[in-house]
Amino acid sequence: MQAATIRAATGADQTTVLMLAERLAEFELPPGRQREQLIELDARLLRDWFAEQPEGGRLLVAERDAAVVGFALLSRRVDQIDGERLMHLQALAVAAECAGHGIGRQLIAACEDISRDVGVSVLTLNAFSNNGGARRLYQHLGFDEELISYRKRL
Amino acid sequence: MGDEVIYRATSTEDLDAVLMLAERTVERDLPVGLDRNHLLTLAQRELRECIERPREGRHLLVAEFDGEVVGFALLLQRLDVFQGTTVVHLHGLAVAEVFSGRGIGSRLIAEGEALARREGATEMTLNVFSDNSRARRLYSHLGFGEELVKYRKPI
Repeated sequence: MQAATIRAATGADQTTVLMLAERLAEFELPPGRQREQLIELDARLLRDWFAEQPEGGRLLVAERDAAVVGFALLSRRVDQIDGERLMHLQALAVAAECAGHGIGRQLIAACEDISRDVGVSVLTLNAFSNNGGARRLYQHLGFDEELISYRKRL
Repeated sequence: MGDEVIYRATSTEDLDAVLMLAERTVERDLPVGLDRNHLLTLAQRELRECIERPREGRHLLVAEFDGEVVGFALLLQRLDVFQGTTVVHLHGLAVAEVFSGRGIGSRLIAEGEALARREGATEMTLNVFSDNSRARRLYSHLGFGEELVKYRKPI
């Protein structure tokens, strides 16, 4: 399988990245969650990034045959519990036709490199509980489950 | 025991008992990298704040038996990140060890739910450490569904 090239996103990638972002809601959503709301939330994060390109935040894209086929959005955070500095992978998406080609893995490896480069030693991310495919990938790549969020309709 | 457990909002007289009970929240094995004393200090600071400076959208319920505080539930009003709706978040829950297994935690949560409904919230949320299987069983049993999993990798 041909590896993708990972590079920093530029303004010219915005349209493709926003289109790819719809992939983020392509799994069986938890009860009560609307696909449009999820897509809109991710799209807003990405539009904000393109508008402001915040310091410490990074948007990476994976390119293959001159086409952007995936992206990863990273932001700097401070752990809510102990104040430790960490990097948080806010969003990761790969084009449907490239699923299973190891591009998500390449993007995550690049995120780890960037985190190390800025002196951060922890990478965190959230996955929806019923997004089994993503969770298997994260576990396989050495991520540990730390906290589970529960929700109940009253 | 003839006396019944009473469930009520906290008052300043509960402070010492509540701060002591907070130790129950850090007694179990913690995920790697978390410092017990630090967590306890944070929890106690929040509880003290809640008792000494009552504020809208922040509630501390206590369970009292025979004049002693034997459990508490700390509830915070929040906005749902996806929908912008009001939810009540169960931020802390503890029951004294000798009273564990008697349904006091479940009842505190039920009281919290009633309070949340009165405040117009349509949902209750909570977080639990992944390896706290006992608590997770309780929450599932009480009708909570898993939604998000937070992952962490040392690099």
